[in-house]
Amino acid sequence: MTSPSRREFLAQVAAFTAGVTLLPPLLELDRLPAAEAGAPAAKPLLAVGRNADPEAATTAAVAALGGMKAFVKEGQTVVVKPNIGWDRSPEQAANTNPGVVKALVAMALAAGAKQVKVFDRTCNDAKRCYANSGILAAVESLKDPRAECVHIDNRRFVPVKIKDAVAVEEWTFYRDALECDVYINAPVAKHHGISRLTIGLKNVMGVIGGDRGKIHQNIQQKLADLNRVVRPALTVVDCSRILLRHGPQGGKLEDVEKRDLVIASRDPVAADAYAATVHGLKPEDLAWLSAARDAGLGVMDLAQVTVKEV
Amino acid sequence: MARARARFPWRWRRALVQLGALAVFLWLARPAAPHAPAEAGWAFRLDPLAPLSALLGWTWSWWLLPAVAVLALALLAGRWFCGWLCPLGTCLDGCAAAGAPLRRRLPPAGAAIARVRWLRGSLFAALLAAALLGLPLLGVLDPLALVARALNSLDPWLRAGADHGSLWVADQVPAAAGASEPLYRWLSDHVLIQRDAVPALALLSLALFAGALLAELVARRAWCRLLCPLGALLGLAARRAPVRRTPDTTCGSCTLCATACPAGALTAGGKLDPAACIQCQGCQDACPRGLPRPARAAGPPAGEPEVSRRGFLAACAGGSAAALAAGGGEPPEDCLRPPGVADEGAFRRACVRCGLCIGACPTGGLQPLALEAGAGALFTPALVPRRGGCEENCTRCGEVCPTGAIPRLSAGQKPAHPLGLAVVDRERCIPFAQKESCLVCEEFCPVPEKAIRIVGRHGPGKPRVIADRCTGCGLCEQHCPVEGVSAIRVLRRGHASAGDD
Repeated sequence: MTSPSRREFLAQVAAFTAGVTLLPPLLELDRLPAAEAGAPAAKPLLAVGRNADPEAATTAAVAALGGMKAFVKEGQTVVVKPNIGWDRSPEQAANTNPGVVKALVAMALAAGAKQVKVFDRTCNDAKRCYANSGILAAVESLKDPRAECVHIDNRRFVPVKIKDAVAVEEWTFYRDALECDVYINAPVAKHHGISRLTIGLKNVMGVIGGDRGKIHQNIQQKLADLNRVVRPALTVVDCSRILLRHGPQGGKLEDVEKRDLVIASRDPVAADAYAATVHGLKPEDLAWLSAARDAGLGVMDLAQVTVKEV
Repeated sequence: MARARARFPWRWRRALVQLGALAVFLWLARPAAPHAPAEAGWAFRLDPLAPLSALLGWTWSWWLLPAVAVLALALLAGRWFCGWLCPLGTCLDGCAAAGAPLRRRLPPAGAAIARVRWLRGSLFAALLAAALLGLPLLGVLDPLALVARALNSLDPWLRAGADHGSLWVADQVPAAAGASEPLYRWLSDHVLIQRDAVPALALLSLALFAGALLAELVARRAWCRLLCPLGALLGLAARRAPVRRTPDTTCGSCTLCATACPAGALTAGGKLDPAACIQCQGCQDACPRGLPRPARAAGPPAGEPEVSRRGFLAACAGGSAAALAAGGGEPPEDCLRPPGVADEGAFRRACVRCGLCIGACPTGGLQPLALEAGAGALFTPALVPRRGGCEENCTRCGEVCPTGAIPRLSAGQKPAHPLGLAVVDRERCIPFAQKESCLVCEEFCPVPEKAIRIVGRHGPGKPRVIADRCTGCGLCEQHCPVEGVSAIRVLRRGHASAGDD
């Protein structure tokens, strides 16, 4: 296999040219939210939007957190990172519902974002995934030149040393995810063979480079490590339809249930913990979630979370 | 009555048509074509070797009618295709123009080429005889396929060049990045290949193409005159074409047209061989009186045919002997044909070796075979799952195949045509051998009800393949995180070592 070495080379070129200025601020970024999460005084707020229309549910949930203007300031660059991993239709619930993505992008644009990028490093052929998920069409339907659903650019993976990591000390990350002003994580909550559920924290797999198969051994700890690097300002979990079996790809409509809800929170761990309950699991059932809590990434105990239903 | 020379010389008209045709060909064969790239095969629908291959494989597609029209045109008025449309011919003419100073310094080889002009027809007869007896290699030398395969082989380098080049531009001239980055993005999304692995046999593909170009430095259109099977087929058709160059001999002592002819169509004694003429109309440009022009001919052609009857029979015998010596060649256990291919022999005969399926495969899994499955399978596509599996909803290989060698299946039909069967190697598989959890194969299994089940109560769950669900797509093999050879491999169904799990 020659490809990773070239990719790594390109990544290094990127890092040494324009990217040298990138790494120091990244490390600072790394420190800030950790301090925030460590402060137990602020009880994290979590909004649950219930609506048969995923777009409306998303808008309501974000509004309950103070609206998009609380996250996106005029002139900022925004990344909305849905799960577009599979060549599946919205009904099959293997990707984030296009309505959720559309609502987030529209709100970020309305809040005055300079640029909104939507992307994912897919598992199946990217062109098929972008088209069949409906997400490409959803973003294009906004007809705003500031918003674009772009394909992953292999030149833009940069190596990052992960501070305080336990299992992954260094990995390559997608530059746009690191450099943007506001990172909005927009996963779908679905069944997964090995991690039981894949929600927000596992969605980081779509912004890392390299051989992702290697992450699957000791995935619990590795996910916590990777999530030290990419810190979303906002996590919006799509539970409009949930895939209960045969995840993460699914494919059978019998495995999908409509739940008509969308979760939004600043706290990525709390968002995933709540999504776990939608699947009928307890947050403690998910080893990777406990590892993330132990890493100080957020609050897992839902008793410590203010839940706002809208 | 002397006619005035054309104000716009034929060579310019021809160059324009040739460059346009080459541009269309390259555009159609670009690897990044979007979802329904059926148009990729359109260029090959003009290639008369494509219907010939299809017929040899007992398949037929009405889409091949344009190629029949090209053949009919040759029967009527000669090899206009070779002179005006063939992408390899255009590359050769470009090479000739660029290499003219060098060629003039080499000793003239025209006479030597003329002496061995029997080679092309004999080779074609031998290839045809061999194909009928189970050694189908016509497509290996198909000029369109030669260019398409060379392009396939260059694709990863074009991608790498664009990647590195755009980074370099953005770094060196930041002001230019505003223009170079959108251009890069457009190329990346619409033209360039999406992966960076070099396809198998890239060096051989490029060497064949480069060989044809180098021969051009020895003599004009040396490839077309000595080796090209398509040239031989169209030449055979053009031999008795009623419309051909008139007059069909040189005039008196003037041999300007014969000297100018790039195809050596005016043989010894200045007599026209219509099978050699590529209708470039260069003789019109060269003639001080602008005399030669295509017109209805009175009698049989003046020149000698390239192959004698005895030579033809000997070539057929040679081809047959080669086919019998090579034997059928049972494909090895890991030779996985594209979805829907059922009959190996018919597939080999029908495959024109254009490599379009290989360029179109989004995962890079389809690769050309060397000699793994015998000489008769050279350059035919097979899935190498470690490089890339067969995506569940993808039907691109069948869509682009110009001859129908790969059937056009819908995504819904694909599961009924498994490529093979996945088999777990317990010595290497992580949950078996290292007692650690893994399950990447199960995650990537695209079958909605999963053809890989995770079983076992003691220790980490272990993968088990459910044979009657497995489509042999190989996505499990592609993504298996074990270093080197995958711990789960797809093997041909019915093969002895498959089906035990």
